[in-house]
Amino acid sequence: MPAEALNVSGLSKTYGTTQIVQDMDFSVLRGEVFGLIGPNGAGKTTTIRMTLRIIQPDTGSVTMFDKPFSEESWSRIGYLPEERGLYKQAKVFDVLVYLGRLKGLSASEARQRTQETLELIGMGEHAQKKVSELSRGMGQLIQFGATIVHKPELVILDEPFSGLDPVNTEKLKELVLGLQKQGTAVIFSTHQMNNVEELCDRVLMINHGRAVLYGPVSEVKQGYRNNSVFVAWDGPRERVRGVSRWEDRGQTVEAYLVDGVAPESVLVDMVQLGGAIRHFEVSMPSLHEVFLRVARDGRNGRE
Amino acid sequence: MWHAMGETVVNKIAVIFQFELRAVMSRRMFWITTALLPAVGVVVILVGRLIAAVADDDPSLVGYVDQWGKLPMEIPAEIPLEPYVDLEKAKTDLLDGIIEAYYVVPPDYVETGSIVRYKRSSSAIFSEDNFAPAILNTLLIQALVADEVPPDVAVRVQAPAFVHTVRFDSGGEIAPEERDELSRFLVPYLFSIMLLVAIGMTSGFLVQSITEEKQTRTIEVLFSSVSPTTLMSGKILGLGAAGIVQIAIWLTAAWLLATLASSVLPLPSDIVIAPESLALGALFFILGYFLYAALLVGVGAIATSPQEGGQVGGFATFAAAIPLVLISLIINEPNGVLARIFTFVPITAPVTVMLRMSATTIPWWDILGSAVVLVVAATGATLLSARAFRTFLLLYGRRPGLREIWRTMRSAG
Repeated sequence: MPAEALNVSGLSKTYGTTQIVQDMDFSVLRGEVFGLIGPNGAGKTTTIRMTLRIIQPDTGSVTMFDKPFSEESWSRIGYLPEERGLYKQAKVFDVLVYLGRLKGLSASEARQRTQETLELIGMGEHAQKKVSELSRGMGQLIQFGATIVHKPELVILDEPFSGLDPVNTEKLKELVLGLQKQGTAVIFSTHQMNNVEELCDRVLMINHGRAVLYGPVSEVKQGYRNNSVFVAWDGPRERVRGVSRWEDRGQTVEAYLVDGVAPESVLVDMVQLGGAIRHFEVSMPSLHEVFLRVARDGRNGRE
Repeated sequence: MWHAMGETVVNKIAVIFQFELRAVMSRRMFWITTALLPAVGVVVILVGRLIAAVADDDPSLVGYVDQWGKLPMEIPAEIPLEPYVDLEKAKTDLLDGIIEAYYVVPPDYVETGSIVRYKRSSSAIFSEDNFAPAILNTLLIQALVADEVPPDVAVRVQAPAFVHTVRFDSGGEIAPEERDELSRFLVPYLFSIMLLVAIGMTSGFLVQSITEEKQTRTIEVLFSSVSPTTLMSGKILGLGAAGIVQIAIWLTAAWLLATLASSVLPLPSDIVIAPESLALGALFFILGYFLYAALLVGVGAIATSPQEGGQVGGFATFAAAIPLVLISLIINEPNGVLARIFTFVPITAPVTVMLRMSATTIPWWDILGSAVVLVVAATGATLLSARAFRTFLLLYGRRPGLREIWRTMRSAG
């Protein structure tokens, strides 16, 4: 098992009488893409800001690369905030060099890394342009470049895909996967569950400031499956054992299984009973459905 | 480890310092405002020279007609006075432009003290007013006392007193080094003005820089690399340096302009500045600057726009200038109650101490106490502003209420 890049333990924050984040525990492994999901106002951004010591937690601790968080930790982190922007009147190259230097690079290193990063994100030709001359999508890619210019070992992206067109979204996904291949741990917070399913190894879902789901994506989905199968079959349904009810879903029918009955035994029965089986699929909720159910139900407790 | 961390923080402050200094100095507005003052000086000197040149075309010779009969009828060539016997001749020379004016000393001058001056209606702006009355007065005094008193008394009548000032220190002893009045005033006033200019300039730069980072949302990226205190320190030093560059340019320009203008204006050439005066001026300039800069950072963090921050920055400059508004009270009683109270109030302390320095020898415990008050206040302001910086810079597009500001300042973190 890879070593931990980040360990968050018991993080809490209260503003006035409102508890924004409560007892947050999670860890992120090196080389892992980790999803931080939850509805608006759930406490995701506050959790990220506390993790980075942008705001001080009331309680809890943060360990980064097996060391307590310190000034030195910042040089190993890249952060793309949800509310983002850069100096509008400055040149792209100068901004990246400046932000690289604040991460501890020397002047010559920062210049070299800036050039490499701009090439990596396909923005090399815009190096000498002012930030204000770029389109919104280009600006976001530049901002991503600023996040990784110092080759961080942990990258935190807060809603990285918002405002991006499909082309730039795909580009950003490629860049994120590229970071993962290099062993960089990536945390991203988003509402877009399709991206989480596509990219993330594990997720943490936050609701009302508390962790409500935490684990590998497949296990989280497994925990919320209906124990049903979708079938397109011409055989006698009433003779299949272990099915409590059948519901028509258009092209398919959903068979709800009795507790303890495995989908495989239903498939065996269908084969033995005869008739053409055109479709058989074990029902598994999408992360989007899990997200909606948890958000609506306000379901608590970790899976 | 602490050493390495300290080195990291210092490096980051240096990077922010360079960035801010370069950012301000690459602004066109910075150079326009910097060039404006010397440009006004150049214009004033050019106009002065033009007027002087015009005045030079006119004759500067002045005549007099002595009907009293006691004034000399022969005047050395280097003195621009021309005695006339004939009133008509003097009038003709005046109208012909040979003389600029002529004075008539009447026979009953001793009884009335009146003399009459005749001029053309279109006289030059720089007329004989500058020299003729003084020379004529000297001649009149010489004539009045010539036969009445001994020659040495006659000389003393013309120059009755040369005032020499002796100052006592706070222990009642004669101060060891007596400086001339100009140099005594120069350093404190120079540092006072520099402090006000630095506060005025820096408030603009600081508030603009901070509100821009807030508006463009760059601030959160910065906070993921440096602590608010580090960011604040870099900004205060960088923007302060920009202010000092501006002041240095102005001082250099002032020196060059003064040299240029020396032919037009009488300027002192041998000013000696006492080192302790320079050191104290510099100390209170630095402490005052850091206090105000720290306060202004807090204002910038709370303000939602550069305009809003600029208004509060204007108040800060006014607060620093309060001792200058009450200058007569402080100078007249430099060790009085008001002056001493202002010495220990942080926002008025820097300028008050400098003004008191120009008027008297300040007790050392006042200087030390004031410096301590300023150090404590600047440290407190830095800590409070860092807290405001951390909290309010992440409130995008919303101004916190007074209650929220108060609660935040009181709460930890």
